[in-house]
Amino acid sequence: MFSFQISQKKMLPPKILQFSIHLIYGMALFIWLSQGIVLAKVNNRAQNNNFESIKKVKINLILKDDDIRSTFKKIENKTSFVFAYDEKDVVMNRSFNVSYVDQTVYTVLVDIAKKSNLNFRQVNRRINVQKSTSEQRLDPVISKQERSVSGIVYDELNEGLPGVNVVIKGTSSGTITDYEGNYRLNIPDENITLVFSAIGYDDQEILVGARSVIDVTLGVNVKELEEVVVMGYGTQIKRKMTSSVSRVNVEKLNSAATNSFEGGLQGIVPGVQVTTSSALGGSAIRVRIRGTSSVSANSEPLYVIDGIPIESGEISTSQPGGSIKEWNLQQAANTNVLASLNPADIESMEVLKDAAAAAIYGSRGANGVVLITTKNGKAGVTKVTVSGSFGLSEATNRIGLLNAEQYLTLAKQAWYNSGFDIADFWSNSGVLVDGLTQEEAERTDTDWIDQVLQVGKVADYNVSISGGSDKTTFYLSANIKDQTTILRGNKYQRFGTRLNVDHQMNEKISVGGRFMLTYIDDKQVPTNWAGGVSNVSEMLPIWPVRKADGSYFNVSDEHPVAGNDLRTINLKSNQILGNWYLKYKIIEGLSLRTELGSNLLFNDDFHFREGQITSHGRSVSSTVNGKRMGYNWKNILNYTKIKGQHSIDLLGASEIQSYTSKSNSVFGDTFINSTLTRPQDAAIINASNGESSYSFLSYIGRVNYDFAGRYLVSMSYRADGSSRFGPENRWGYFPAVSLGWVISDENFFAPIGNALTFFKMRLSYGLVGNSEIGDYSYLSTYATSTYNANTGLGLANVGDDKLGWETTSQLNVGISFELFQGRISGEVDYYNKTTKDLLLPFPVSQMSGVSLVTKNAGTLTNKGYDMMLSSVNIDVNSFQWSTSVTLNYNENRVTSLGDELIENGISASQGLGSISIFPGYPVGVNQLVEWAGVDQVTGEDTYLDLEGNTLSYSQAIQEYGSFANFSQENRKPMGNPWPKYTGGVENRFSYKKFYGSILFTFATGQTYEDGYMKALTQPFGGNKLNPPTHLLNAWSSPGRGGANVSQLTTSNVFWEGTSEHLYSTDYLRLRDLTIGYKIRTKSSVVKGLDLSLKMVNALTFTKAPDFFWDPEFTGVVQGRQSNNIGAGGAFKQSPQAKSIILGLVINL
Amino acid sequence: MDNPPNIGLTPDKLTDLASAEALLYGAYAQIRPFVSQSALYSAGMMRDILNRNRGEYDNFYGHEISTNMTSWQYTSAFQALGTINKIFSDDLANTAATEEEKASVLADAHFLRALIYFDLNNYWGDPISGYTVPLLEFPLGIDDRVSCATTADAMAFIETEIESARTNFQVASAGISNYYAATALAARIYFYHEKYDLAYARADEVINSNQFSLESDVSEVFVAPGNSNEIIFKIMFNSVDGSGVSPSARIFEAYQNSATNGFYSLNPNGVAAGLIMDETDARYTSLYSADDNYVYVEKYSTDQMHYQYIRLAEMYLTRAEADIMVNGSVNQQDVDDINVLRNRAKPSSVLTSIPTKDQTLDLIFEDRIKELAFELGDHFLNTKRLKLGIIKTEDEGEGFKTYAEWIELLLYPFPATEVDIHGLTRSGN
Repeated sequence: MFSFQISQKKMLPPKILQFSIHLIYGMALFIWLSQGIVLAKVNNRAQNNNFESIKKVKINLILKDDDIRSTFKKIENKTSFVFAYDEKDVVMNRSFNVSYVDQTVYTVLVDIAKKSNLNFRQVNRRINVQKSTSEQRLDPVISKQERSVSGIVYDELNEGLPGVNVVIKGTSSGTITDYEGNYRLNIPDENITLVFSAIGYDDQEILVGARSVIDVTLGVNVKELEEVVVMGYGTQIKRKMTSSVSRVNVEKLNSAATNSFEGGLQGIVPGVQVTTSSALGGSAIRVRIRGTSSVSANSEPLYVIDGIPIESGEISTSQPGGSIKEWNLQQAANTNVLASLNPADIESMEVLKDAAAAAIYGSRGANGVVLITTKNGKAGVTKVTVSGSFGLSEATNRIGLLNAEQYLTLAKQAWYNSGFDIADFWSNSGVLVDGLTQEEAERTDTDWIDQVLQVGKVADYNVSISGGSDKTTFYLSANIKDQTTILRGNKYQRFGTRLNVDHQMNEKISVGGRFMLTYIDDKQVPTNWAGGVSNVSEMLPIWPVRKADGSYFNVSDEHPVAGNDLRTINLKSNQILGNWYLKYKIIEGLSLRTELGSNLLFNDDFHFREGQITSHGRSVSSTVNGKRMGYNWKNILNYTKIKGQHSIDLLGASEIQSYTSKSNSVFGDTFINSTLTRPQDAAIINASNGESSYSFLSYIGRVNYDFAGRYLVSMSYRADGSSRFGPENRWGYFPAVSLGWVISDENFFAPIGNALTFFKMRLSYGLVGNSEIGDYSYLSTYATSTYNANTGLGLANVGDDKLGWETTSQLNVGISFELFQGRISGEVDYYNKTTKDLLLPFPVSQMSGVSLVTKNAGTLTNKGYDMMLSSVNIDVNSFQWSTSVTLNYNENRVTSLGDELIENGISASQGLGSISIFPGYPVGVNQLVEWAGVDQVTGEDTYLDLEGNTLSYSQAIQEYGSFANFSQENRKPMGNPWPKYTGGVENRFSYKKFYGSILFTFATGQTYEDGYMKALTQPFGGNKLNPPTHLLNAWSSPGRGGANVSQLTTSNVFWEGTSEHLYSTDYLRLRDLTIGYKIRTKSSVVKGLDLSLKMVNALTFTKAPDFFWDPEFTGVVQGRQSNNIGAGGAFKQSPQAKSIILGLVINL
Repeated sequence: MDNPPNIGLTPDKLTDLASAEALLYGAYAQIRPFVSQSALYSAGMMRDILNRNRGEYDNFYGHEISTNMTSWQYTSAFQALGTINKIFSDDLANTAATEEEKASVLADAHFLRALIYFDLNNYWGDPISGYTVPLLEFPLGIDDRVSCATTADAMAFIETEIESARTNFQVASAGISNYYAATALAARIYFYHEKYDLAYARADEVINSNQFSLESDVSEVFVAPGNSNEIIFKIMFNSVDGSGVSPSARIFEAYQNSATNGFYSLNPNGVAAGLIMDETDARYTSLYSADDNYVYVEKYSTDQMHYQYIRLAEMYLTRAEADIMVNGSVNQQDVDDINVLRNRAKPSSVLTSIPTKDQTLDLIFEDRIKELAFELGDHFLNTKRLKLGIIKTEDEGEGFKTYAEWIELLLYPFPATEVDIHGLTRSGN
C-alpha cells in the first residue's frame, strides 16, 4: 500500500525538542513513582498473612517465679503471638513455677487459666486476655481463628475501584473498598461466599475457600437506560429523556485520523452529516445536524465545551495577500478552531438534535448543539495513561489525468479537428512554452500529482494523570500531535495541555475548573483555488517540473510545485479555554451554581510569496495578528425533589455572553533582498486593523417532571437578547415542550414485557434561534478608504432596524425501545423543522450602493427521520459481537422567499455568494441547462431548452445569438447538494483479549456540479490544461458511437452550468477498521495494555467520476459555516487521506 | 446589549464639509475598477487582443457578453454614484464652509457623475431602442424602484453635469480634480455625443490654456509614476492607499510581458494591430514588446503608477476631427493637430499637404487607434460612433461584422438582480 522511504534525519526545532525532553522526563518520573506506590502495596499485603492456631503451635516453657506478665512475655518470645490485656486485669501476686515440654500454647493457656482468674481468646496473632466470668470458666481458652480475606477490586481498565460493597453472602456483614480498591474483611470460615457489588458494574460472587487474598475485576454493566446524559445546563437519566439527544461515548469516537474531534461523529450519530473535505492538516470539517437549517447564516451546530460556547469555524480569516490575486483565497483551509481540543481528553459528547433539547440554548441552537464533556479524575488510585499512535496515509483517490502520450494524441486530434495542419502542431499550437523544444516535450512525461503528494505521517502522543481523594479530583493531560500530511509541504503540530479539577470544600460548597491551553503551528500549502495540489491540471504532462538549470519551468502561481515551494503560509495560534464554577447547596435538593468561562484565541499568521509566483513579479508578505476574546457568566438555580412517585427538577438560569475580536495586519510589497520576508522590510507597507464585538443576555427556565418515571414532561423557555439585531427586534423567545410516556411500565404492557422490556414514546415541539450573521448587519455604516493618501468614505452596509432572529421550529416524534433485556435497542424519530425569517443576504438593487442587505425573508424546511438500532448478536463467554446501525433521511426545501420580486428564486450570480435558492428546491441547488448528450453524428453537445426541444450547441448560438443568452433563458434548478440518506453500520467484536470494529458510512442522493469541467474538456485552446482521462472517450467519428464528450477542438470554453457536469457523489466508505489486543495485567507496573491497528477510509465505493478527489467533497469553497456550494472546481479541491494507524495505550 | 462598532461611521455623523470631501475621495477610490474594466473589455470586444490565460475573456472575444463579467462594473459605478449622491442629498448649503469650499465639493461631485454616466451610457446605452441605465441624482433607497432613462436624457444629464463641474471649478480654487480636467472630459463627451462644435471649443480651450504640453517622446508619458505634463487627468496611484485594484495595476497585469502572468496580448490579426505594428513608429517600438509568441502592450510597465485618463494628445485629435465635422472641410490647423503627434512618433508620416475631408477623417481614425490604443476604450467608442464593422473570427468567416450585426451583441446586459428588482428593460419600461 505504501512505498516507504527513510527520510533524512532532520533536527527538530528547539521548541519541540525541549517539549519532548520534558515529556520523557515526565513519563520517567511517573513510572518511577508508580513503581514506588506499587511496591509499598506489596509489602503491606505481606504483613496481612493469617496465623496458626494456638492449638497447633507447640512450645517448651519453663516458668520459675514468673508472674503473669513475664509468663506472657516468655510465650511471646517463643511464638509469634502477642498478648493484649488490660493492666488492671493482670495485677495479681501469683507466680508460676511449672515446666511445659512440647505442649501446645493452648494447653499452656488452659493451665494458666485454671490457675488464674483469666481467660484467653486468640484472634489471629493476638491473644486477648480478660478477667473471666463464670460462664467462661467452662471454656477459658478460645482459639477463634477469625480469618480475614483481603484483596483489590479492579474496574474494567484494571484500575482499583473504590466504593465497592464487599458483603458476606446471606449476612449484612461487609466492608467497602478504599480509594485504591483495597478491602479487608474478617470471615468466620472458609465456606462463605463474598458478594462484590458496585453501581454500574456486574455483581460478582466468589467462594472464599482457602484463599486469603482475592482480587476481583468487576465487569461494566452499563444499563443504557440508566446512563446519565448531559443536556443543556444539567443532566438527565436516559430513560427519562423526552427529547432527541444522542450520546456518544468516547470509545466510539473515531477521531483518531480526523483533523478534529467532530470528524469522529461520522456514521455513529443518526442525523449528523459530517463532511471532511480535505487532508490538509487541521482543516475544516463541516457538520450539519438534520439538514442545513439556514441559507447564509452559520449552519454549523453550536459547540459547547464544558459549558463554554465555542465560536467554531476558522481561527483566522486572513487571506495570504488576497488582494494581490483573487484566486489566492485560503480561507476554507484555515485552521479549524475545534481542532484545538485534544480528542483524547473527551469523556463524552451529546448531540442535541430536536428543538426541545436545543431550545435551552435558544439563541444559538437552531443548528443543533454538540455538548462536549472532558474527562475528570475519580477518587481513588492515581491513574496514569500513556498513549501514542503512529499513522501513515495516502490519498483516498488519485484523479485520472492524461499522461504525455495520451495528451499529445488528444491535443493533436483537437488541432486537426479545428482545421489546422498537423505539421504545424508543434510550432503553432502553443504547447511549447518557456523555451521548451519539441524533443524535450516528447521525452517528458510528468505526473504532476506525484509532485505534490507524498506519504503522510502522523504521530500523536498523550499522557494523562487522573485521580484524587473523596474531596478533590483532578485530570491532567498533555498532548502532542505532529503531522505531515499527504500534501507536500503541509505540516501541522499541536501541543496541548489540560487540567480539570473539582473540589468539595464542605458539605455545602464545591468548586472546580477546566483549563485548556493549546498551541498550533500550522504550515499550510495552498489548496482549493489558491493553487498547489489544486493546480495539477494546470500544467501539461509534456512539461517538465524544472528546466535544465534547475529553475522552475514556466514558473507562475499555476505551477503546482513552484506555487508550494515559493510560498510560506504559517498559521500559529494559541487557544485558552478556562472556566470556574462554584456550586452551593442551599438546602437539600436546592443548589446554586455560578460559572465563569473564558475562551481566548490568539492567532499569528504569516504569508509570503516570492515574486516568481505573483502576478506583478514582486515578492509580497503579510502578517496578521488577531485575538478573539469570549466571556460567559452563568448562574443556575436548580431544585430537585422526589416525593413518592413524583419527581421534579426545576431550573432557572441567566447567562451573559460577550465576544470581541480584533486583528491587525500588515502587508508588505517589494523586497530588495531575497532573505527579507517580513512586511516591515518591504518597500511598500500597508497596515489595517479590524475590530468587532457582540453580546448576548439570556434568561432560562426549565421544568422536568415525571410521575413514577413513567409519565414525563419537560418544558423550557429561554429569552435571548442579542446586540446583533436591530433595536426593535433584539429579543427572541424560545419555548419548548416535550412529553414522554414509558408505556412498558404500564400494567397492560406486562404480557409482552418479557420480550419488549422497554418502550417509550416521545413528543416534542420547540423554537430555536439563529443569530450568526456577523455583528453589525442591522446598522447602516460608511467605511473608510484611501485615495491618494486622503481619507475616503463609502457606503459599506445598509442596515435594517427591524432585523431580527431567524427562528426554527421543530416537531419531533420518537420512540425508544429495548428488546430482550437490552439485547436489541433502538430509537426512531421523525422530525419536521421549519426555519422562518431566514437571515438572508438579500439581493437589493446595486444602484443603492450595496448589492446585499441582511434581511429576514423566506422559509425553509427540513423533514426526515433518524433511526438508531443496536443489537448484541452474540454474547457467549469469550465472544461478543454487537451491531449498531444509524440512518437519517432528510429532505431540504426552500418553501418561500417572501418577496414577490424574487419569488422565482435567487441564483448564485445574483449575489448570495455562491448560493442559489429557489422555492421548492433544496438550498444551494444548481441552476443549469439540461445537457442532452453528444450528437453521435456531428460530435456536438446537445441541450434541451425549457420546452424540451433538443438543440445542438451551434443551433443554440444561432437561435439565441450566443450560448450565454441560451443558457440565461433555459436554465433551471437541478441537482441536490445535500444527501438524502446518511448513516453508518458498525460491527464490534471481541474475543478474549482481541477486539475489533468495522464501520461503514454512506451518503446518497447528493449531486455535485462542476462548472470548471467544461473548460477541462476543451483544454486545447488558449488555456492549456491537462484534462481528465474521460476525454479519451471523446467523439471522433460518426460510426463509433457511445462517446460522452463532444468532439475535441482547440476552442476555448468558459461557461458554467450545464448538467453535463452534474454528478452523483453517492458513496459507501469503509470508514474505520480496527483490530486490537487489550490485556489487563495484575502487574504492579503496567496494569493494562491496548495495542490496536486502525485503518481509516480504507475503501471507498462511489458513483463519483474518477476525477473527483473524494466524493465527500461537497463544494465547500469559502468557509464551512455557510452553505456555499462550489461554483465549480472539484479539480480545484484537495484529496482526502486514507490512513493506517498503530496505537498503543498503556495504563500505569 | 448595545455594542456599536468602533470602526466606520453611521450616516448621521456625515454632516460636515470634511465628510463631504471624504465621500468624494471615497468615490474616486470606488471608480478605480470601473475605468480599467472599460479599457480592458472594450479592447476584447474589438478583438484587438488575444486571450492567453483567462477563460472569461473569451466571452468578449466571442461577443457573448454575460452579466457575470459586466455586472461588477455596473456595481462599482453605482457604488461610486451612491457615494457622490449622498453629498447631493445632504444639506451642503447649510454646512459650515465657505462658498469656495462648497463649490470645490460640488465641482468634483458633478465631474465624477459626468465621468461615470458617460461610460455607463457608452456600454449600456442602446442606440437602437434609445434607452440606457437609470439616472439617479440622489441615493437610491433599497425599496425605491426606478426605470431606464432614455439615452437622450442621459446625454443631456451628462452634459449638464460636466458643465456644472466646470462652473464650480471656476469658483473653487482647488479640488481633487480641476477645471481643465473637466473641460477635457467635456471635450471627450461632446465628441462622442457628436456635438462637434462644443467638442472643438473645449478641446481648444484645453490646448490653448498652456497648462499642458506634449512630451517629445511618447514613451515619457508612461514613465512611472506618470506625472507627465501631457496628462490632463489621472486616477491616482499612491502606495499608501493599500493594495486595492488600481486601474494601472489591472491593465499592467493584463498585458504584461510574461508568458504566464499576463492574460492578454495584441491580436496580430486585429484591426488595431494592423495599424499599430509599425516598426518605424515610436508609438509601437517604445510602447509594445514582442517575443516569439506574443506582442505585449507595455503602456503600463508597472502597476505602481497613475492611470492616465485624459491626455493632451487626445485633445489634438479631438480638436482636429471636431473642427472638420463642424466646418465640413479640412484646414491647416487640423493638419497641424495631426502632425504634432506624428512628428514625435513617426516623422516620416507627417502630412505635407491638406488631404480631403474623408481622407483626413480616415487618418484621424487610424491615428486615434495608434495613439490611444488600450488606454480608454477609444477604438470601441470610435467604431461605435462611426458605425464601423468589426473583424470576424475564423468561426464567423472572412471580413467584417457590420455595425448592425454587432451593436446589440456588444451591448452590456443589465445585472439580473436589477432586472428582477426594477424590471429594467431597454424597451422603454
